[in-house]
Amino acid sequence: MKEHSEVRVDAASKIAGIEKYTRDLRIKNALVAGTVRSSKAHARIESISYDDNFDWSKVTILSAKEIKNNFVAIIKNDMPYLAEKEVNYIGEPILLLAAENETILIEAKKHIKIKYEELAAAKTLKAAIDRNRAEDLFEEILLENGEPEKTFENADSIVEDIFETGFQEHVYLEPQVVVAIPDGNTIHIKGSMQCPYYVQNAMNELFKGSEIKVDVTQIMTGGAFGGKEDFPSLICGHVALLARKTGRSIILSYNREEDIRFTTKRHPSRIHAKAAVSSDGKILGLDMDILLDSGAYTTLSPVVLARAVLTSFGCYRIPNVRIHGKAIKTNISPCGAFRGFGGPQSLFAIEMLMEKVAKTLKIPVWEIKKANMLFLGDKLPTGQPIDYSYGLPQCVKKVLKSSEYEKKYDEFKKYNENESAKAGILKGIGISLAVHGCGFTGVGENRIKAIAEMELLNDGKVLVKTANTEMGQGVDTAYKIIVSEKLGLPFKDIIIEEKNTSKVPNSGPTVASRSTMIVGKLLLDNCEQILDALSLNDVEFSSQDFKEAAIEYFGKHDSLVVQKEYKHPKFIKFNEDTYKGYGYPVYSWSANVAEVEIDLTSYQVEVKKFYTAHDVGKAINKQQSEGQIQGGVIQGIGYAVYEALSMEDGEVQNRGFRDYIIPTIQDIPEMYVDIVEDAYFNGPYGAKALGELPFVGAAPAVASAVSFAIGKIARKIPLTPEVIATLIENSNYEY
Amino acid sequence: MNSMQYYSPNTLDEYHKIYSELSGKDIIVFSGGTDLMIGRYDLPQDAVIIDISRIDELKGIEIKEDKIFIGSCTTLNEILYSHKIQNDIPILIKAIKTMASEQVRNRATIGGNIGNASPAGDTITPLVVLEVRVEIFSPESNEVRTIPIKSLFCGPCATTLKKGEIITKIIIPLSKDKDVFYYFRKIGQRNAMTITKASLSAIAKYSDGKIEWIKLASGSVSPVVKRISKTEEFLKGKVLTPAVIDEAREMIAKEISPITDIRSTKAFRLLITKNLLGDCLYYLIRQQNI
Repeated sequence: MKEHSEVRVDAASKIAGIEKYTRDLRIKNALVAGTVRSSKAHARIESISYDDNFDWSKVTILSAKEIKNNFVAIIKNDMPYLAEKEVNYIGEPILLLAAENETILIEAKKHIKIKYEELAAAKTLKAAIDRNRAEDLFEEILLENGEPEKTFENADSIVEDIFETGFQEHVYLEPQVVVAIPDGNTIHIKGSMQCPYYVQNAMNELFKGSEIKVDVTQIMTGGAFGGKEDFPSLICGHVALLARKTGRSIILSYNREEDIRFTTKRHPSRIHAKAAVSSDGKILGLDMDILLDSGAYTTLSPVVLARAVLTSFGCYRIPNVRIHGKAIKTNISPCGAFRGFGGPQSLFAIEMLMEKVAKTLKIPVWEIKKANMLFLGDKLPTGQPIDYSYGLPQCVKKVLKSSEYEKKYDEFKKYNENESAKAGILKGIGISLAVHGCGFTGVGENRIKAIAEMELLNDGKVLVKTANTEMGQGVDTAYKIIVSEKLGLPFKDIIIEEKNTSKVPNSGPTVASRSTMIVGKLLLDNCEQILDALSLNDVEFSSQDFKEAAIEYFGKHDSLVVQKEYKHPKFIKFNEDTYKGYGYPVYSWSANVAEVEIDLTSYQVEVKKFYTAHDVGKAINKQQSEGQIQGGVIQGIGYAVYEALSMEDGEVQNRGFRDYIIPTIQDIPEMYVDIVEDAYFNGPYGAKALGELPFVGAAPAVASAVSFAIGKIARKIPLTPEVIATLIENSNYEY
Repeated sequence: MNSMQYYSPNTLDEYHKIYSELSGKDIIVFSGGTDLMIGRYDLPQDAVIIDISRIDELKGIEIKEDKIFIGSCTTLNEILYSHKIQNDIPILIKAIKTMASEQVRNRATIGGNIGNASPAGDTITPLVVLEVRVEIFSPESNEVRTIPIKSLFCGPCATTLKKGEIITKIIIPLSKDKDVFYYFRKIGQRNAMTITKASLSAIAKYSDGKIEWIKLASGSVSPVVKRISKTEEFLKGKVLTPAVIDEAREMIAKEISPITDIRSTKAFRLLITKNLLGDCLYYLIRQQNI
């Protein structure tokens, strides 16, 4: 395939401001919905009363009692649409209201009193660990390989520490918004979401046993990052229930404050990591206890934990491991999917453990990482051999060259010794190696059985039918490139079908960096099916030939619709009990170098330069791939340095952009991006996962650079100035 | 429907008239609205808001004799790009450059920033060390009065303005002293669009290796922005040795009373305020040695 650097097909309409998002839809005669939420972290609801000083005829109220199948269908089905007897976090929905306008809703809420009987709550991960209850365990995973116990007994030294990562908010530009439009026995749901079929499935469960049918349409989505993976099922249920009750269309749109306080976050982690090390710096054994703060309900936590466990050994050859992961319930707003999905937490731990090993043995950290890095043909602790599409060594070569890491490592050391005090600045340079397992974890892909469909239209155009959504990542453009390259058609002759569950098959959710690799490959197969039908396979043809063949085909036939279902290659197997086998069909890799400066007056960390090389198999759209890498790195810098979600007494304190700090254009470094293309045999043109990888490697590179600058291991992120001051001044400035 | 009332007078007379017609009602006067609008969900549904930022007579920058007059509804960017202010009041330029973003500075006004009376208001610390006066119009008496800026504030986001009174002008005295040293630095959470965790404004006169006088004001570390007078007094006449600077750092920590909030902690604010003073004084030494 030739190199493509295409302008995104959705760029013009977005830049011109004419793209239609959910809030731009003109829905006739709609009511607005609002949510009455719990003010307690854990309590029994004693009573709900509505005072007489309000005209209740103006408001429709819906409570849990009216919901027959009151659970949001995700993995364990433990989260209700509305709490009935017990609330488990501050902000949990208790009642839904619908009225003609927002003002009535605001006023109505003032006249509702909920009486609670408070129950014991675990508002922090520490509290949940301390009370140590079996029922708080959403998931537990143990992965063992080799002889970890013996290895630790015989090791020259054991290096250990506890590593912690914080909450993170997705800060998609468009807050959560969904609508429901009743139409006889059908309810049409539209909204900002990643996974229309997740919502479809949840609605099927909600209305099971009733006459209600639902279809789901994704409207152009202004960012998601995982925040619109599991969460929309909850609020789509809310609008659907209200639409059924009122017979009117319902709009539910969160403002920024409601969104930041009550929607899902990245799981905070606390990881106790231990390495058994030989005197020359070989990591012989790894022991890790991974704890994920999961919030009040299970949501996707078991799968997030699985990825954390399978990422815990990073890019290293470690023969003996014991990895023990737990996803733990706490009484806070549930955590959910977020770009990286458990990977960033455990990759931070393993990378910082390497820093600690280097410091303990007094060997430069890059020497340690180099000495333990996987070789082609090595096996992971799961037994999976890394024997194809392993581009990490090339990434390392490129990033060492572009960054001049080794030269600067010495220069910065000298600078910090001689000039820092005068200049008031410490300099640091850090390196990270990162991995992201491509697509669903384990057997997920075989369970989903993704189907993509393509239709040849009688004018020679093709209609591409997938459920994979455009949320700013460029999937529509990537699909057009894949199809255009194979069928020789211009973009205008490739039409992307609306992401409506009554029009497109279930090609699986838009998550896990799978859309290009898995569904893109299905589309390539669809193209072959069409070429077969047109007898154009194995021959050279022009776009004119294609048109003529299509016209000829429709002379004899009425339609041509092709489908293809995804299956892993036969040898890709995974055992969910032992966690042995192919955790992922293939991995994407990156090597990253960050340069930082720490100001000694303000203790601010500024990332000055960031160099990265990514092995993505094949960059389907080069400029968009670079863009996604830059964006992911910036989000990773936010995670490492700026983004401090303040949780006090079980309640998010942040209210919006003024107090939840993400990097602005003034805070981002010069970036140097290299792309390595070590093809994956089962991806379209060799492509594998890209979306999440840029995020995963950024924070450890920055934390490595900070550790260099201050001469201490940065064992927890975010590295806010208060944390940096605490490390530098040996006193506590955090609380 | 939403019953909020919005007024936008074009002249002071119109403001006076609107005010009189609303007699007795609670009103919120604003100029720019870049802070107010963020909190719009918290406003009462029947709030009466008056936007004075279109009153032309409250805009513009003028020099008369030994004073500069800045209309209260002059935007931050109009001040930033003013040659008069660039030449004569560089400390204000330095402060405004750190504020918000281009878009916000195009709407936000200096009167709005002062009237908001936030301890973190970034134009306030330079204006306090410049010892400016503030002109105030009262619609009750239809008269103007001027007060020193330090008498304007009486608590976090609270002013001594009486009902309906609006700030009309900021009057900055031009210094007769040549070679006055100035310093402004703000520590926020990032490089733009950030609210101050702590800041320091200083102007000083340095001669014969000694501090002749110095005026200091810290932002975001006390309920109202005020002068750090004991530290000022201590530094007066001193040669800036490392020991003197260390002592001054400890003194300023005793003169402020920061709190812990979502942006930072009390301990950290104390630390960086001390650092800011150290940074300021070492910068002063370097400036004199050039």
